[in-house]
Amino acid sequence: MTVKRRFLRALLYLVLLLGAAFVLVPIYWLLRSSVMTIGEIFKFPPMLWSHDMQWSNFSQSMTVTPFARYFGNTITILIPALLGTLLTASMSAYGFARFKFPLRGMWFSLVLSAIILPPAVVLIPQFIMWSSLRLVNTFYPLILPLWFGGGAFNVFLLRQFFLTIPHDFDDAARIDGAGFFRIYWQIMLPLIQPALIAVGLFQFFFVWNDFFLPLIYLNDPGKYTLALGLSEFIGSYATQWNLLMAATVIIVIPPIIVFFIGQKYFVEGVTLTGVKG
Amino acid sequence: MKRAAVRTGKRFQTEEAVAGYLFAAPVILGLIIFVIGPMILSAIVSLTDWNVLTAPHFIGIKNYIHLFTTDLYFANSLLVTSYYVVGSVILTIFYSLVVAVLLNQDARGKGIFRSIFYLPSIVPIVASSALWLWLYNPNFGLFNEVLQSLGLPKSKFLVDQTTVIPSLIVMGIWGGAGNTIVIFLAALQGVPRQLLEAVEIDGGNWFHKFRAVTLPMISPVTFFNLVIGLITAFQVFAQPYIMTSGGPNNASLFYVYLMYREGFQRNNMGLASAEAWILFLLVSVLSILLFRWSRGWVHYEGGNQ
Amino acid sequence: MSKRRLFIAAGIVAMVFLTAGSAFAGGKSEQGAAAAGPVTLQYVFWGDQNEVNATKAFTDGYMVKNPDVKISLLHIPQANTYMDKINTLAASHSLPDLGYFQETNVLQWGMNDQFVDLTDFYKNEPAKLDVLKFITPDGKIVGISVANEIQVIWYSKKMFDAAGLPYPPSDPAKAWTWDHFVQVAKELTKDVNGKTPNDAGFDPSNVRSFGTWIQQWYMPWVTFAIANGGGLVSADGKKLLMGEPGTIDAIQKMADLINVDHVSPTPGTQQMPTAAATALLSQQVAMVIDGTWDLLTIGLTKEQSNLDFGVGVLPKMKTLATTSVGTPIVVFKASKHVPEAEQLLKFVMDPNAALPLMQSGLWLPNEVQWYKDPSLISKWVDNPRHPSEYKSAVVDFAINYAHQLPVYYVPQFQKMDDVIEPALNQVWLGQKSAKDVVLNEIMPKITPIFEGK
Repeated sequence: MTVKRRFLRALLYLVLLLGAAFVLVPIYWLLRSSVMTIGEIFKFPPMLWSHDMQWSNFSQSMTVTPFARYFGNTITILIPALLGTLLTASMSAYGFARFKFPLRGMWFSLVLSAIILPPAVVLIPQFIMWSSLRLVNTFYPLILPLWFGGGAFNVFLLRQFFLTIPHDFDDAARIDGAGFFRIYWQIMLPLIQPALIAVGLFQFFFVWNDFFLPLIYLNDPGKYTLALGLSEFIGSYATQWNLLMAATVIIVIPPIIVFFIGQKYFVEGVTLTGVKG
Repeated sequence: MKRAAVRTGKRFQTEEAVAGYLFAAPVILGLIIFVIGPMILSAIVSLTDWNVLTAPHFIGIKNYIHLFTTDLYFANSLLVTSYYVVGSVILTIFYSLVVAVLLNQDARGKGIFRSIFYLPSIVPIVASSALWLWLYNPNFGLFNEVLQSLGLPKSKFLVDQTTVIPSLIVMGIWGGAGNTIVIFLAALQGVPRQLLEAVEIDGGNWFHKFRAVTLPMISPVTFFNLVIGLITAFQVFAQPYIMTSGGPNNASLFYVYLMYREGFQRNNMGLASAEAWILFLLVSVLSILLFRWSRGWVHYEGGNQ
Repeated sequence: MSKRRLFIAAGIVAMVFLTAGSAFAGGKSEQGAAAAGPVTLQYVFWGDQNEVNATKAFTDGYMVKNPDVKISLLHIPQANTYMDKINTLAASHSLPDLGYFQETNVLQWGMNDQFVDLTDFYKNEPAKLDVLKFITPDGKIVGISVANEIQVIWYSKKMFDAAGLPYPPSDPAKAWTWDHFVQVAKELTKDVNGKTPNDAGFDPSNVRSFGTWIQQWYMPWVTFAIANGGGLVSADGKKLLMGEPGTIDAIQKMADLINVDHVSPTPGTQQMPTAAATALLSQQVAMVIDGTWDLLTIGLTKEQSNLDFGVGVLPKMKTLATTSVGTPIVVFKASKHVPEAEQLLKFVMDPNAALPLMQSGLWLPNEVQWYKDPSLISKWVDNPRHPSEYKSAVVDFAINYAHQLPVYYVPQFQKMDDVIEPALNQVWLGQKSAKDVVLNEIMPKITPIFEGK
C-alpha cells in the first residue's frame, strides 16, 4: 500500500471511531449509571465508573415495578403482532405482485399514500373507533391493525421483493396442479425469506419499544408493556435514575440479541427487496 | 404452447381477479378501516367543538379559521417543526451516507461497527430521552463538563430557545441514523463493480466514481430515506413530551405534541382533529413535490416506478 | 380449490385469534353491570410506590370495615399523564367512580357538570381548610384537596455548618427579608475555585454548589407575587393582578437569583432532574424552595444516607406568605354508585385514614383542627420523620400564612398558564426583563382569556 493509501485508511478509521464514540458515549453513560447509587450518579464532577457497584439495581428495578408482568404483556402483544404482520403483509403483497384485478392500481396508490400518512392524523378517530367498540384498555388496538396488512410499508417492501421472483416458479407449480394458495404458502414464502426476516425484525423493534400506542390505549398499569413501564421510574416527585437505567439495560438486551442474529438477513432482505427500485 | 394455455382464458381472468382480491384483502380492508374511515371521521370531528365530555356541536370551519388567525400556538409550532424537519433530514442523510460509505470501504470490523451504529435505534425512547436530558443539563450534565474541559464555552442546550432544536436534532441523529445507515450500506453494496471499474479505467478517482456512478446508483435509496426521514421527523413526540414540554418559550412545541396536548390534555378534540388534517395536507403536498423533484435525479434500474 | 383452502385458513386464523383474544380483552366491565353482590368502586390516583402502598393500606382497611364494598384501584404512575388517561377513560365511557383529579383541570370539568356537587356533603364534615376548596363560579364545591402542601425552605445543615451560618428561621415571626435571604445564598454559593459571588474572580459559569434554586412552575412565583402585594388573580376572582408592580417585581427578584446574584442554577423546563433530596445530599444546592411533599424523600435520604437537613419558613417580601396546593378527590357524576362513593370519600378525606401518609411526610392534613389542637398535631408530627422545627416552620406557617392558589378559583387558569409559563422562560434565562415580558407579551394575551373571550 502506498503511503497515501495508508494515510487515507487511517483517516477513515479515525472518522469511524469518532462516529462510534458519538454513538457510544450515551450508551456508556447508560451503563455506568445502571450500577451506581443515586448519590453517585449525581456526583459532580461526574464519576466515570461506580466505586460501589450496585448490582442490586437490576433486581430492584425488576421488583419495584412489576416488570415480569410487563414482559409478559409485551410478549403477549408481540407474538400475535409478528404473526399478523408476516402473514397478512406477505399475503397482500403477493396479491398485488402476482394478480391482476380491477382497481389494483388505485388500491396500490392508496397503499403508497398510507406509507406517508402521519399516524398522528388518524390517532384520534382510531381512538374514537376503539372506544366505541369498548376495546380501549385492551391489547386489541395494538394487535388487530397488524392483521390487516401489517403496515403499508411492509406490504410495499414485500411486493417489491415478489416482483423480483421470476414467473417460472409460479408456472412450474401451476403445471403441477397447485392452487394459488399452495403456490403462496409453499413456494413464494420460502423464496422471500430474507425480506420476511427483515420485516419481522423491523416489527419486533417497533412493538418492543413502542411507547406511544400503549400510552394511549392501556389505562391499567397491570397491562403496561416494557417500554411504557419504563416511564414508571420517572415519578411525580423524583426520578429513580439508577433503577431506570438498570431497567433500560435489561430491556435492551433482547433486541440486541435479535439484531445480532438477524443482522445478516436484515441487510440481505433490504438489499434484495429492490428498495433500490 | 403449454404456458400460454395455462395463463389465458376468461375463466382464468375471473379466477385471478377474485384470488387477487382475496390475497390483497387484508391490506385493502385495513386501508378502509384504519385509514380512510378514520380520515373521514377526523374531518368530521374537525368541524365540531367536541370536548370528549359533552356531545359535539357542528361549528363549520371555525376551528380552521381559529388556527390560522387567533390561535396562539399553531403558527409557531409549524415553524418549529419545520425547522427541525429540515435540519434533521438533511443532516441525518448526510451523516448516514458518510458513515455508510466509510463502512463500505473496509470489510474488517464492518459487522461490529454496523451494530454499534444501529444500537441507539434499539434503546427505548423513554430511556434515551431521560438519558439525554441528563447529559444536556446545563449545570451538572456531562456535555458541558466535557466542553469546559476542552476550553469551549458551555451551552444551555435544551433550556435556551436558540439551542433547543439543534440539541434535539443531534439527539435525533444519534437515535435515528442507524436505520438509514444500514439501508445506505445495503444499497452501496449493490453498486455494480463493473461501472466503478469503468470509471477507474478512464482515469477517474474516488470522487469521480462517487459522483458518476455511486450517487446515481443509490439515488432511489437516497430518495427513499429522504421521504421516510421527512415523515418520521414530522412525527416527533416523545422528546417534547418527556424532555421539554414544548419549551423553552414554545421553542420546541412540536406539531404532534401540540395536537396531542390540545386533544388529550386540553379536551379540544375538534381543534386537534383540524390540526391533524392540516398536517396531512401539508405532508401530502410535500410528498408530491418531492416525488416530482425526484424525477430529476433519481435513476431506477428497471425504469420508473 | 385454492379459494376454499384460503377461506378455511382465514377462518381458522380468525377463530384462533378470537379465542386467544378473549384472554387479552381484559377491559373494564361496565360499572354495576354485574348482578347482586358487593358494590365495586373504582378509585383513581397517582403517586410513587409509597403512595401506592399507603393507598392500598387504607382501602384494604376500608374494605374490612365495609364488606359490601370492593375497591378497585386505578393507579396512574405519573401525574402529568393523568389528563391523557382520564380523557381516554371519558371517551370510552369508563370513568372511575372517584379519585384524584388534576388541579389545573378541576374547575373546567366541574363547569361541564362532570362531578358530583359536594357542597351539602361537606356541610356535615369537620371544617376543612378554605384554601383547599375547589369552588365553581356558581358556588358548587366539586372537590377539596385531600392533602395540603405549602412551599417552604428545605436546607442542608452540613452546608450551613461548613459556612458557619445560622440556619433559616423556623419561626414565621423571624422570617428573613428577601435581601437577607439573597445574602445568605451568596455565601453558600461556591464556584469551582471555592469563590462566592461576593469574591473577586467569581466564575458564574462554573458553579459547583448553589445557595438556592428557582423552579419554573406557577406555585413559586405566584407565592412570591402574593407576598409582594401582587399575584395572578385577586382572591375574589375578579381582578387580574398579573400586571401589578408587586407581581412584576417579585418575578424579577426571583429571576435575579439566577442571572444577577448567581445563586441559583438555570431551571430546566421539566423539573430539575434531581429531586430536592438528591440536590441537598450531593451538596449541589444549600436551600431548596419547594413543597412540603419533599419530606418523604428527604426523610428517607436522611435515613439511608445521613442527610442532615432542616426546614424553614420562606423569606418575606413585602409580607410573609406561602401558598397551598393539593390534589382534590372528586366524585364523578358518571358513577353508578354515588352514595357508596361518598361514603368512601368521607373515609379518604378523614385525616385519621391518611395518618400513615401524613406521618411519612408526604401529606399535611386537610382539616383545620389538625393544625390547632395539640393532641391532633402530635399524631402526625411527633415521629422521627418530622424534624423538631416542623411544627413552627410548617404547621404554624401553613395555618396562618397560606394563601389560595388561582388554580382553585380561576377556571381559565390552565389557558393562562399555557401562555405565562413559556413566556416567563425568557425571564428566568435573563433574556428579557420581567416587566417587558409581563406587560408586552403576557398581559395582552391573558387579558382576553381572563375576560372570557
